[in-house]
Amino acid sequence: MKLEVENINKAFRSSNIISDMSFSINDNEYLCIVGDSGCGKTTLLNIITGMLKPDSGIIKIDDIRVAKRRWSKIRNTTIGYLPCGNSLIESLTIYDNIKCAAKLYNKSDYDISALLKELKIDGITKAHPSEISSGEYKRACFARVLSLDTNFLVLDEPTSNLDSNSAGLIINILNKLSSKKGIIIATHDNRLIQGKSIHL
Amino acid sequence: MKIIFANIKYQKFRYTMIFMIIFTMTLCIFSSNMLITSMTQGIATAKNRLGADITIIPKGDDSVTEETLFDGQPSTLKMDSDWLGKIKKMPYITDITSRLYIASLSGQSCCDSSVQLIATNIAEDFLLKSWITDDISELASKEIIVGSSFNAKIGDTLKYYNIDFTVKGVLEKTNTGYDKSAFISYEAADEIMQNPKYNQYFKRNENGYNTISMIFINSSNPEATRDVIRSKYYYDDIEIYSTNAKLSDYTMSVDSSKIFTYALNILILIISALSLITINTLATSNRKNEVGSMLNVGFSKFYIAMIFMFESLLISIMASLSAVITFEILFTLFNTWIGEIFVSPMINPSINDIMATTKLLLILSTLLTVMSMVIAFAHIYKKSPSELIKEAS
Repeated sequence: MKLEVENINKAFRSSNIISDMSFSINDNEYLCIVGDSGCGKTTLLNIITGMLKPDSGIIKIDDIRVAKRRWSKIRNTTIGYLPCGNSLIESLTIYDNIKCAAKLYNKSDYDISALLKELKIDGITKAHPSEISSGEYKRACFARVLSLDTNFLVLDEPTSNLDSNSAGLIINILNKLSSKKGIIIATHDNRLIQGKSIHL
Repeated sequence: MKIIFANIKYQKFRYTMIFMIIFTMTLCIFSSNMLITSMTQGIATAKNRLGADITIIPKGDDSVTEETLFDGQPSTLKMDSDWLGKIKKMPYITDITSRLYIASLSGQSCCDSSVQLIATNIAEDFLLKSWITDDISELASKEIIVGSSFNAKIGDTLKYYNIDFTVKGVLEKTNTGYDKSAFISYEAADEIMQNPKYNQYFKRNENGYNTISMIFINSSNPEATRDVIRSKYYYDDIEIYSTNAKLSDYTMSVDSSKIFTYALNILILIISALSLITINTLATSNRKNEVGSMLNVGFSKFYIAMIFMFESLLISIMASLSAVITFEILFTLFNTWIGEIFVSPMINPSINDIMATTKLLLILSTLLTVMSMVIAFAHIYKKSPSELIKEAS
């Protein structure tokens, strides 16, 4: 599967953040997006995942332009997105947050328990997002996006606010997945910057 | 469904507020509608069943008559029975009957209060005929016919003025004072009046006890009959009035209450709608992160809107039904007291009325909830998912 970004432009208050950007990534490639804070990394990831509409340009999956109405399903089945901000549903437990996302399009065969164990958050499955630490929160978000088992993973600073051990857990998993999924990461973490990269 | 219940549980305060608004609104509108509907129907029933074109009562006692007929308040109305013979001679009269109203000194079979004993001649009493389900053409001196509120069946024995009466018949439910009345023969009334213990309450002339309370008349020309009686006996101690005219006063009073009630209901509705819109708009605005989070993992905006909608609808339906149940409980417990406040015994909503009003209020609260949620969700519907997460973070 191939994800293509073609001639994307985005401006905020007449200031161009992204200008005529194009690139493509296969579902077994690893792409890093690096740059200073405020340079537009998150904006680009938001556009790639359909969370933000570009001023111009298109996103294609396997040469087919993604229509506006298809983005919801694509975020659950094709492009899993880990945003930088809080993204867990407060009223649900950690386990339910992960499960309900996976169940949305009937993907219930993913082994959530093993994943939670690997990320060392298997002891907080019954807790609500407000009851856990920021590091656990980040790992729970990561677990949720992995549970979707999508072809591409788009991750916005997945190791920020994490101690080195927790960050190491995420890096290990990403290393294992790098040949099986297309991974796009916006990060400042040198341990994650490898292979192909785009400098903004 | 799991998300819906989890959200409701998590947002207790918000949903308690929505519950209270819908509950209060439903209770107010439901109660007022039930009271007005049942009063209107009670009047219609009374109109149909009273039947008499003209009623003649002792002068100055019309308020007592009103209480006796409509409120079921026991009373003892007195006038000479000679009046029956005089009135019979008036023109156009087709039916005529008299009754003697005696307030029992102690109620032993119905309710906690005293009951209305009515002496009548069953064979002549054209008003009573439509209420009696059994074929009863005469009443012996120790027999009694009771209203539907009595806890008695045919064959039971009831004691009034120290006399044991055998129940010969039970009237249909009339929703008037007759439900709490018992009918006896004039012979039984005479026996009561002759008892030295009680005869101080009754009038005796040279021919013995000759007391009656009211004369009911049906006429082929009620206005003419009334005018003749009025002109002939203008200076005498009797009052003549049309039963329907008297009921019209009640109808007018209920009609004015209706206007006031409907205006109040509209005001309650507007206040509830504004409160719901405000709460739902604020609540939905505070849920931007939740919306953004759900969009992030693949929920569509429509799906999320439906989840929010069902949360509110569930609360709304629960609140509406709770209000109806609360009304029913309060109404059952305080029926008599409510009747006294509204100076009417005609408050007896039927199952059909309750069901119809409940259905109407469910539709109303559902519409209000849907409208408030649509307005609330419109605020965030146009925002991009990234904006929603960003604004809340």
